[in-house]
Amino acid sequence: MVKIGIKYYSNMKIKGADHEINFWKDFVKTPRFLEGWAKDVKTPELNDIVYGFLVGHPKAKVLDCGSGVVSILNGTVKNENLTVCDLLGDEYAKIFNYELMGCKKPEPYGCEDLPYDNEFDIVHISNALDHTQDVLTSYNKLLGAVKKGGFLIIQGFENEGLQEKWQGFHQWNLSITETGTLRVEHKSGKIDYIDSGLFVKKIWIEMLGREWFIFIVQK
Amino acid sequence: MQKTAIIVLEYLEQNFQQTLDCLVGLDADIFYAYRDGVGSMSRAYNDAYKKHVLGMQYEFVWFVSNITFTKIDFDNLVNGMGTYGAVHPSFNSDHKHIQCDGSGLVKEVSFIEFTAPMFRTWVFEKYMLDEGYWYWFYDLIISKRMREDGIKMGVNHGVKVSHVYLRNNKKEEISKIRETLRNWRHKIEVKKLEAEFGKNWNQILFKYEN
Repeated sequence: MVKIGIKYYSNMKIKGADHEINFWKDFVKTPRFLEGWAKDVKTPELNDIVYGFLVGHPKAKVLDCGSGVVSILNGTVKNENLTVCDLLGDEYAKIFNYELMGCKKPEPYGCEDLPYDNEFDIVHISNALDHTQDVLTSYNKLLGAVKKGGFLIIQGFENEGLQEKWQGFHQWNLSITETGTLRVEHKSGKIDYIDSGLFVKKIWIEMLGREWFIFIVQK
Repeated sequence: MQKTAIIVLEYLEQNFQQTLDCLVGLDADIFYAYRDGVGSMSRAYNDAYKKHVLGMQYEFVWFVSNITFTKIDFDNLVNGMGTYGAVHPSFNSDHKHIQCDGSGLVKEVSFIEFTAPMFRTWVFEKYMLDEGYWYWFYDLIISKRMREDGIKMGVNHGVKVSHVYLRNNKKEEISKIRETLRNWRHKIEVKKLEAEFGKNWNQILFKYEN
């Protein structure tokens, strides 16, 4: 699996991995990260809907995919119940001391090569599905990792590809339609729809002046 | 600029439109408090106040949650402020002294809730809300502080707002998530109350209930 991860990393290096690592290199040194992300408290950036959903399932075995250096679920889901993965996990270990901070190091898997099958009560991905090479393959892999009756939580900004001018990882636009379907649009213009799930909401991020979507599917 | 600012707590339930409809045509500037539809009320209200009201020339600020009311209710609430630091309209509260007694008067009380209180801005700014308490208790704490400083609180029995549409209708998923969070926070906050006010926090905060 690590080998597969490396393969994808090689591809993505061209498309923005360096940009991502450089972002985290600076961010991990900030008080905002050290106080809000690395400590055993709710991460301030975790929206309260997902927070509420997770505290309502205190014993759930949770996978956070595309986590970045430290999972946004750190401090909300207990370490023993949390599995974390990010394609760049091995790179992140070079810029952050997981042992010292008591945080989970991400397993180096991208969404497309997740090795899990019906293993988790909740699978979560925040602001990362649209960073993948292939959103539909990734979606199926994420859902595949969910146990029957469990939940897949997808959240992120709408139309990030357009917003970021299709730079770096941002090759896709995700958005929620009026009927609650997840709309997936590739830079090439190809559009797919993923059926609506248990819970679909958009929330207003006042600080950024942008809308954020939350899409929860029950398997 | 108007005399009164209204800070409306955003809900994501469909029925919240009923509250939004009530805001049309009011003689006030209207702002919104955000908390992802489920999170901390105290933080949302404080943030909105600091962003939109602090440093401005408003005399009153009305905090509006998931209630319904008429334009006349709003006007009467403003006109009934008198010398009070904060006044709550009557409604079908769990606390008897906030329920409408039919007198039509503004009566002094020992604490108010935060379903829809109107404050003088200088009074609210003096205390703000204790963000350690997300859904409950911060109203009792600000009331305690006002009471100790001799600032009068009242209930306006000439104004009755409705606070039932989210309670009585079939719960949306978002309502269930908020309820989960409320229950989660309740356990944490009761411990915090015990640490802050002692084991008899309940008697201290509710001691003066009319």
